Amino acid sequence: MSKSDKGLNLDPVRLWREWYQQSEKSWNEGISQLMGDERVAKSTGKYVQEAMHAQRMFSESMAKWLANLNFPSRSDVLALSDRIGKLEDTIAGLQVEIRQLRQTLTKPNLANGADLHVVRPKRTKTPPK
Amino acid sequence: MQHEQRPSTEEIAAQARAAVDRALQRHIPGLNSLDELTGELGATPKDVIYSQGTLKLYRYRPLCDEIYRVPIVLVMSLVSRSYILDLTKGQSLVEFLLQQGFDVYLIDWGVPRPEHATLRLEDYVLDFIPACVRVINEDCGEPDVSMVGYCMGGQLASMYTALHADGPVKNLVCFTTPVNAEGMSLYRTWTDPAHFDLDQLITTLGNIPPELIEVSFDMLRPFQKTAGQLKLLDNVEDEAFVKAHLRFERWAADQIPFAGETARQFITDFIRENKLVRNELTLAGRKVDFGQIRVPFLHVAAEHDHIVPAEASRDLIGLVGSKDKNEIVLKGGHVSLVAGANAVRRLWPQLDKWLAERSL
Repeated sequence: MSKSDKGLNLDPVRLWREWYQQSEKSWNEGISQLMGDERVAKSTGKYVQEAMHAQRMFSESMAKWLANLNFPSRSDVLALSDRIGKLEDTIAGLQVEIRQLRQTLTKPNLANGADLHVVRPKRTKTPPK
Repeated sequence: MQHEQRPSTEEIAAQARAAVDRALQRHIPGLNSLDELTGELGATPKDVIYSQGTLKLYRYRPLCDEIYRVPIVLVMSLVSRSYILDLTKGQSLVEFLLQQGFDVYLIDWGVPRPEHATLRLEDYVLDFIPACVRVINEDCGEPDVSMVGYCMGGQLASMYTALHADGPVKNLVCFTTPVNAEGMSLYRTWTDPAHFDLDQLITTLGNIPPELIEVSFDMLRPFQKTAGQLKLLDNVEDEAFVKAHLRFERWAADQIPFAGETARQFITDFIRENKLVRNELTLAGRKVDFGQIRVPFLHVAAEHDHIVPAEASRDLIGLVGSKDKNEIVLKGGHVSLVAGANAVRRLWPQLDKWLAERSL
């Protein structure tokens, strides 16, 4: 739908969308005020603690069920993610070492007394006037 | 009687994988195009030149034959992926800086794992950043750097500069950096010790999971996400808009955990006790006094930033002791400030000009 016929369109879904977008700011402000209320914050804090406890209990029992079904649990997936993270870190370490070795091997090929930095762009740029 | 040979576990797994792949291709034809729409993120060519644990220091490959003398090091926030600074071609601060002739490095903190829950601000400010700066100095052969920090990265960069007043930071730039927790009243209310048991949270979880961080950001503006989706629907025929929107969405959904002990320090010392703005924060017994920052300083804030409101960041410029200090306030939000259309048109050229004059 082109923007030129926007004004003529009485599509109720579109009208609702426009109204929602226009009202969003004031709704957010209202909700922010509510969220800043001490009582709401108190119940949110309580909810976070209870949810944390419930989540742990649920995860533990769910993990047993999933293990019985030979499926991975969320903690299994997270453990896998951690292992991938460790592998990535190891690869990064190897990349650094390869780069250093390459630099060491390249150095003797440069002219006597030349520095490795000469093969890089000159650091002489000045701002345009 | 002859038994039929039973398939091995590997064969069953391969058959299952093939069946799942077939089902996905049959039933979710749009799946591939989503990836195609966002494209590869953080793809500007770079090399890892140093790593320590999850930290990686990248050097981006220069795009010019002649570059400014002073290199730039970008310091990322601890709770966000660094590719927001290098989203995609034409929407990448890194690419822009390279095109303008800067030598660009980036400190990517990586994703903390359970064994990193004990990391503290001291580790980041007094160990990791100094190590990276040393490597940069050796790598480029220059004794100084321009440091650019985004959000919490700005806090780290400011702390480092304040505690290393004699160098090697030559210029300091902070994007939307919170220093006054009174400007973050919702966070203060939510983390009030009267009803928020921080110790229990960290003891139970170790690191703060990204879901919790994302929910807390969403709670600041609960209707924003839906309004964003509706805006996407309205602009669904505008391919550039859709692509940019999806890239932001993908980044926003790709949060990382917050190392437990650092989160404890952040909430206790900054959010609850507001020590930064009072110059009362100490790291390893050393007082962090922003008045010690005497290098040229630039602060960039966003008018409609709900994550770090202007009230939380505007005191920084008054706190630093530099004589040469400037502030730029732009329209936009916390993320669009560094990667949105306004950033491309307005912020980046100003940043280029400011840095270029001070990078000789």
